[in-house]
Amino acid sequence: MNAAAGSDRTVVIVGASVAGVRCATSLRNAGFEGTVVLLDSDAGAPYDKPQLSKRIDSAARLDLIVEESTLRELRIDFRPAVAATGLDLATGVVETAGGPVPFDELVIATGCRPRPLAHPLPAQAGYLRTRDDWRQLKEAVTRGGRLVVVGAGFLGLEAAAAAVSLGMEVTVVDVAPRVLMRGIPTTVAERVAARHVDAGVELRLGAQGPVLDGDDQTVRVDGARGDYALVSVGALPNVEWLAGSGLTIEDGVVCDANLAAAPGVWAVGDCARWVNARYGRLERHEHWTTAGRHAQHVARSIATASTSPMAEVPYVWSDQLGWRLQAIGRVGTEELHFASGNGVHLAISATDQLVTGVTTINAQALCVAARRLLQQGDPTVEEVVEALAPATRDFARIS
Amino acid sequence: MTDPITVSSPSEVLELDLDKCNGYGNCVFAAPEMFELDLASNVPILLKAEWSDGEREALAAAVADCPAGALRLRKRDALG
Ligand SMILES: Cc1cc2nc3c(=O)[nH]c(=O)nc-3n(C[C@H](O)[C@H](O)[C@H](O)COP(=O)(O)OP(=O)(O)OC[C@H]3O[C@@H](n4cnc5c(N)ncnc54)[C@H](O)[C@@H]3O)c2cc1C
Ligand code: SF4
Repeated sequence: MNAAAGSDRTVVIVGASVAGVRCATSLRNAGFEGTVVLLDSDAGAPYDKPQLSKRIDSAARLDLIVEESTLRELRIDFRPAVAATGLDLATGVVETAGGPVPFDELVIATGCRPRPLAHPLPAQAGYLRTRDDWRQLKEAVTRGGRLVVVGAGFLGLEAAAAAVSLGMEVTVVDVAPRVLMRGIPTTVAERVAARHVDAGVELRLGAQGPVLDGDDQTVRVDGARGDYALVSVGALPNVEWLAGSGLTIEDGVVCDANLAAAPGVWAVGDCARWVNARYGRLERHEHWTTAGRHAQHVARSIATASTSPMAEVPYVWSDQLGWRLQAIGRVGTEELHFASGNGVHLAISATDQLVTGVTTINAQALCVAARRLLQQGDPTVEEVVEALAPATRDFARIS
Repeated sequence: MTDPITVSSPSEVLELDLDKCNGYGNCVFAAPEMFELDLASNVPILLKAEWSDGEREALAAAVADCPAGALRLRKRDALG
């Protein structure tokens, strides 16, 4: 491509959340001079999702990912309220309700939606992924009473924490035997659960499969009665619009290690299932940091007309009841847990003496150190224990 | 409110707002030459007082990678 500028080329990005917006702005940062079209089915300016479960007080405002004026300055053709409905690879066209949109390169960034329950929700219940969902939850918090949270994952516990801090009564219901089943080792999950109980949250774990019913005023879930129920039981990739396009769709858009789904077609963020070069296997992450890094990677590939494999160690953070929880890598079969007197926790997960992940509470710099150690491959337990001293030396060893 | 910590190139200023920073550390991975997380305070230390054109893309990535919106890159004005 001439001087890597690609000034006669058109990149169409579908989905204007963190991955899509980041791809658009990174294209410009990497020197791409061609046309950039950014579509989203949602109306309004792009906002960030993580705040939706953390800030639900009546005065909370949504931070935008980017101002529309910045998009204009960067010559990004942002088209809100335009849903992609199909893809024709042969002609290089995205079909939308507003007509076909031709592309030279396509970036699929349509993310996820909440996994629905098998039955429709009663009036006083909702999921949490969009601005409208968030407004509905905020209204419920403003009215007060009891919030029932279905699903004790990150999102559900964050909302529970925020609601109890704002004076609501809160019950969390999950079929799992403990909180944070995905991605957090048992010892840390137990500490987080205890923190919630101390704050007044009622935990009902090992519940029956949740069935919600209710009327205009109240909602009932497995015997718990509340004024509003928030359902957060996972997410599904938004890939139905790609059916029949010829792309491989299996729990996301299947991509090679370079995040390419077909020549000139890329997928980034929560909807991308790619061969993660760090682990050499197909993975789909649902993490903010991965979404941004995917997008940056693909923008660079397009702007420089070159490809390279994307390696990513999963990283999540969660803010609950004043605690900063961070997890890098994956949970293993063994666990080493260290705690200090002042509420700092460090858990090292390992399988066969190789460290697969590290989880921290209120120890951001330790998490950075662990994240560095895990970048290239799984280090040994000794290496990590050594590198994370003084924490591993001075803290009490719990298990 | 603490004043942001700033460093600059000839044309731009990088601001770090410590009131917003949560110590997530993404900046350290996006631009390792620019940031390190301080072990005692859990907030980043700016390792350099300025940056070159070649380092700018990594810096822009660090700004975008910050989940807390604590980093800002702005054009240098007459006062900056
Ligand atoms: C409440 C909540 C809290 C979270 N907290 C954290 C956290 O603390 N830490 C963390 O690491 N991660 C967190 N996450 C996850 C993180 O937000 C996601 O990983 C991230 O948003 C993924 O970005 P994305 O751009 O890939 O997809 P999404 O954010 O899902 O965005 C996809 C976009 O595509 C649009 N779209 C979908 N279909 C179409 C179509 N057919 N045509 C046009 N547009 C379409 C949608 O409208 C949407 O704007 C949280 C998520 C939620 C919901
Ligand atoms: S990425 Fe942002 S929040 Fe995290 S340490 Fe850097 S400045 Fe602070």
